[in-house]
Amino acid sequence: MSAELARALRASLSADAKARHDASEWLEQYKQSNRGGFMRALALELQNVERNQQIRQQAGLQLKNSLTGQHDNVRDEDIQNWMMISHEDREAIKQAIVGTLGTEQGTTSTAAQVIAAIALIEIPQNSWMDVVPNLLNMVGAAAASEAQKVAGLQAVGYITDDITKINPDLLTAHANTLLTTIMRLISEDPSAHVKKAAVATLNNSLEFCEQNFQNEVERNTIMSFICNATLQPEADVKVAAIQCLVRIVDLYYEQVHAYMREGLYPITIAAIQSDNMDAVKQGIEFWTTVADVEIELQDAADEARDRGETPEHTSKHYCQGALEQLLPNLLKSLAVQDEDDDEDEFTVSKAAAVCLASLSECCGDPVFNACVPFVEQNLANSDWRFRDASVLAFGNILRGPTQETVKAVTNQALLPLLGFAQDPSTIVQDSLAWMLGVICDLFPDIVLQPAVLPSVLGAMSQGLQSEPRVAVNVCHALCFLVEGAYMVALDNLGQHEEEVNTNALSSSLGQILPALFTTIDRDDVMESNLRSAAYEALAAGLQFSPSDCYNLVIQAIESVLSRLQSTVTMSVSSQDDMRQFAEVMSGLLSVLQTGIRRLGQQDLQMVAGSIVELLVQVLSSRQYDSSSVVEDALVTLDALVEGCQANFEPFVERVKPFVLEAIRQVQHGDTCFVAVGLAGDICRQLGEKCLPHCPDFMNELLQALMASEVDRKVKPAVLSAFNDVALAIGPNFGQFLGVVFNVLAQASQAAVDPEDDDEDTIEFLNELRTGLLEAYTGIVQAMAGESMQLTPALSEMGPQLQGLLNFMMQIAEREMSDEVVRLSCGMIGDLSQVFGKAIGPYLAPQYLQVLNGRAIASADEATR
Amino acid sequence: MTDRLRDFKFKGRDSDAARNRRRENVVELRRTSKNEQMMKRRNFVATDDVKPLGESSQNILEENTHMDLPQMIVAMQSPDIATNLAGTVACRKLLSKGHNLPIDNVIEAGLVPRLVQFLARDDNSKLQYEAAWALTNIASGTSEQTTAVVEANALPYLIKLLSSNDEDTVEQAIWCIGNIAGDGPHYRDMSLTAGLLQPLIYLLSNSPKLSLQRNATWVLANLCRGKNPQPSFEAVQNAIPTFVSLLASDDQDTVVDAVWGLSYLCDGEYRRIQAVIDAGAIAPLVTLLASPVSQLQLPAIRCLGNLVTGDDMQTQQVVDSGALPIFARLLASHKENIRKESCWALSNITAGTQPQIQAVIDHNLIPLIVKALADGDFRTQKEAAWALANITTSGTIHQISYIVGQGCIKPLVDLLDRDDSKIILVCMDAIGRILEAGKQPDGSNPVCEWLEEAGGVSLIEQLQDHENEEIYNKALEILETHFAEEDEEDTGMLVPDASGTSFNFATPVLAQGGFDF
Repeated sequence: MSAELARALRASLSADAKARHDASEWLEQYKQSNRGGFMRALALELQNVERNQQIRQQAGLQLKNSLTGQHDNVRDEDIQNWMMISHEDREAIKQAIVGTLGTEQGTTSTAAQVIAAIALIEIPQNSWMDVVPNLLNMVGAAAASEAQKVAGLQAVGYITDDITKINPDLLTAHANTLLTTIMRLISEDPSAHVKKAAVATLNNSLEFCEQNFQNEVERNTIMSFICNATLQPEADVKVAAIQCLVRIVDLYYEQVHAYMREGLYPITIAAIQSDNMDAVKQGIEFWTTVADVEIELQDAADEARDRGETPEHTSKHYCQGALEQLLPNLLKSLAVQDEDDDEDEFTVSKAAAVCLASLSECCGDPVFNACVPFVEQNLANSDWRFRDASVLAFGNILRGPTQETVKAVTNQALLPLLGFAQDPSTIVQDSLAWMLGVICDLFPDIVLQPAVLPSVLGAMSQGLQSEPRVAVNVCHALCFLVEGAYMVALDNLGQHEEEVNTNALSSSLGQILPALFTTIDRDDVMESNLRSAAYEALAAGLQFSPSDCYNLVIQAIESVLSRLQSTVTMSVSSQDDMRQFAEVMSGLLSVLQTGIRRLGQQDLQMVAGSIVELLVQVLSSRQYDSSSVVEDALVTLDALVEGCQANFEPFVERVKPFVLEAIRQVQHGDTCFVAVGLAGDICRQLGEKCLPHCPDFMNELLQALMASEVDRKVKPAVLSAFNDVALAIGPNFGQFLGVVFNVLAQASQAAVDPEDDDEDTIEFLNELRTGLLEAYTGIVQAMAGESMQLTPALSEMGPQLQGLLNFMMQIAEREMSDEVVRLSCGMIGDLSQVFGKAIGPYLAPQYLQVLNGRAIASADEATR
Repeated sequence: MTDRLRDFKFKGRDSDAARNRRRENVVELRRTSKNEQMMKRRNFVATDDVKPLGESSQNILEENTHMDLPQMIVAMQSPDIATNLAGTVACRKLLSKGHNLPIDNVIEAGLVPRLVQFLARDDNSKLQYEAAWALTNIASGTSEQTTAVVEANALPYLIKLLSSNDEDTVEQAIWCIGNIAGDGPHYRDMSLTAGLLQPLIYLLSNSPKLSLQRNATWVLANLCRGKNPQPSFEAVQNAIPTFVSLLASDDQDTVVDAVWGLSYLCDGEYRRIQAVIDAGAIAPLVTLLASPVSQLQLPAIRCLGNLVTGDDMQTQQVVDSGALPIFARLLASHKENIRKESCWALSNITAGTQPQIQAVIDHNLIPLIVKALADGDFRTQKEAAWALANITTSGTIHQISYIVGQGCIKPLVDLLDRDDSKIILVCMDAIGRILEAGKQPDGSNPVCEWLEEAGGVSLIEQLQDHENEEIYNKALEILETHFAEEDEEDTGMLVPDASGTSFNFATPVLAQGGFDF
């Protein structure tokens, strides 16, 4: 078996797709037939030093995938799968992987990752509690090899980092030993590799060691250690130590005051001035992080003051204090770049640019005033690096300061800057085009002045024909510009006008759109993200077009439809082709969506049939092995449904199988989500006419809701779709009530139960509550009929509605979004209208007061 | 740092970001369309142009009742009781449906006194019920609208209805009274004077149905509530046994209101506290304190916290009741409010005797209070600061040195930076007393150095410029007493020096635990 397993693992790395496929089938079958034996065999392969390193690594990855899959979190089924394996197998696996530590080649240990995966499953079950102390013993032992120490440290770092996200308390008992061991290694171990690994583990453990960090004495010790580590001679150790400081200031901003002036500040400035590029980047990253923290603190403080409260924490304005030293160094760093830079590499110059943007947002005017002289002096520098630094500086200091000042300077500088659009350096052109985009975003009215606009459009037109990295920025700039032109016109609308009939770009759009069509046909359009940006600009051009450009919309749609037609019939042969075609398809569909929304009813009716046929072709094609194309096709269909309204009816039968199929794709969250929404939209637009299709839709929606592997964002969407179905078919919805009430009751439980401070969870719960209230509102309104009266069907719903009222009172004690408050008020209103005083006794007066208070306090006009 | 690349130029605007924007756009459009759909049935589709108010309320009148206002007036003033009932039902319906209730129209039509007359019609409980309902809705409006009901002398009649045989009528009357008594101290006291308390207590002691019990408890609690001024203790003290027996109810809403009611009653002088203790409240309150339900925890903390504002004996009874271990859990609650109230309650205990302070220390609560002081929200921090400052006032040297060892100096210092004179003074006083306690026989004082390390000295130096006279005097006093010889100059940011030998931020000794080297 062992030889066969090794063969399969080798084959899974093969260049031959068929061999890879067969290997993964074989592995999967092995796993299904005997999970414990499979994993144990993998662990032995990983431990087997006789084997080729790649095979060992592959065994480790397979093992890790069998444990936690590719998810970030441990799921219940992962725990079940692992615990189902016999105790003996589990222990053997653990022993093998711990024994593997230090025997692998390469810098990262796969065994360490596997250990962390098992620990993450077992520790919350109160099992394998000694893994961390044992690992610490191992790395601290005099007899341990360098490789053992490094791998062991990695394992510890993975575990502490992951466990912190679940419940750090489980391991807090070991925090002191952990810190003691790590610090001893950093200061005493002779090996630079071990030192570096120890610092990296410390970095991973910083959040875990929160309690130690909150204790002043211990914090002082840790900080002394890390600061001293930045003075170590080994460059790697130094950089890793500065990285720790970055993490610390992010996690513990409130606590770093005592170390700022004498430690963090001189260390990071010296790093930025050093000639080790990694140290420079980390030094800069430190200040970007400080600036981001301070921006957040200022925002939170402003919000608190708006509510009349004293802010809890305030910015200590470290950035402000550091500007004098920091800015000259950053401006110098902007010019540190190579002729042949890789666009996707994060260089010193890019780090400095990002830092400058954050500092500008954080400190405002002082940054602007200090940088403008640098911009002026270097714009005409003979060294392209300084010309580029000048443009990068200018584009990054525009968002923070008082907008009047910036606007005046920008207004003066715009035309002279455009003169440099023909710079011989592509990199400088790239930056200029980007800067123009920033200006279009911030001050479209400057760009749209009649005296300036032609020059800007001229420069853009040139830029569109330049290198892809330049053209892509022009596309983004155009997105901002067309939207800006629309918004400016909207602000200036006359009292009786409802639509933007004309705007500053009305006479130019006729050149802009064709230029973009030319761009998407470029041979090099796949480089630098140009294709996606060009399609987005086209879509924006249509979305924000004034009415006097309607004929351009028609032309664009015709052009897109014919391109779609020829694309969909093309056959693809290679993997790469497939990806390219998927991108083209998505782009065309995104333009078509916005186009459809701009079309008048009559024109839409004329093309609706052919669009439906095209979309059906796209959806039935197996050529695009990409869920994103399906999603884009469904969104396009949605635009069509909303546009055609009840006239969409003849097409429902044609598209329904694809909608149902997409709802079944519960594991593709985005596709499923869009399809669920589409089903609801079809019903809402068709009204009673959707009755014959409802059983199919409802069946699939219910299945999706109950599927165990469904992406959680789908659930609120399904509940919300119930609202559409119910309102569309009124009392006919009675046929679904039994099963729907059942799932609503379950979902209500889930929407009340967890009390979590995690923002994502709160947001999700509110979405779930929104969905639930929409579903209930739909049902009550549907069963009450047009006249909103108490019907026999409604009277029978007493127990379920009692559940609804309980649910509403329970969520009133939680953090409710405006949307939920608004829906709750509406629901109470509907129930009172239908039931009159009969519901009085079920509503605690306090509840109504709370609800009323929340509704009045809401900033949202509609809620009140 | 790999994510940082997305912040450079327009690198973050890729095809995924564009698809997300498209998806959000669809959701946004759908929400608008869906809301319109739901509004349709409610007879008001949201539109941008708002109709003149008169017109829209006219619409409500026409659509939602079978009688218009003039007809209603005629019917209600009729000598025929059946016609009265029809008019009253129409009136009640008018006041129950939709938005922008035409309460003022009903008041201006002079219907309130007539409704009050109907309350007295013992011969027709249906009429009484409908009239009470209509009055409830009027009294739930603005203060002026509530006043209209009170001035029509509704209170005595409503109280009389509490002994009606018809449970619905009783409940409706309670609801109406609750709206009136809840309007402010004036109407609260008026309800008490009118003799509301006894019938309410009587009702509650006869195990009424659940909704009635909830509403009656809520009203009873409201009668005890309010600080400007508090209701006179004589007027409300009879409620205490009722509340204490309601603590054993199975219904959470009832219990919550009963605890709140008790907490109002024991807020204040010695005899209030003693009366609540005498009624046997402490034991059930401690049980509620240990409940996992935060809506119960909060008033229980408030109640016990009030009890420990009493004299040493009263405080001791709470300390002896086993409440302290529960506070360890409450201080670790993720609800900020619970932590804040817990710190407040404990601050009342640390203001007590030295053995009482020691009890707080022995239950290991100090580290949790220090944590709250360091990372709670500002209101929590204030209470935690008080809790610790009280120890520096009445504690032994040993107790003071214990809280220093638990790391209280730094977070106390951090509060000196806040925009709140009161709390700055509390912290400065505490720091001053810690400095006093730190004086060694040889004239040295380790606290001075720790304060310096915590950034306290420079902050106190800054406070010499504070606009508040008391603060700058206190700052001056501390500096002159403990830091006379040191006069450090502020050099601003040091020039960075990477060749520096080493960094050492150590605070000397005193810490317990920590790591071993």
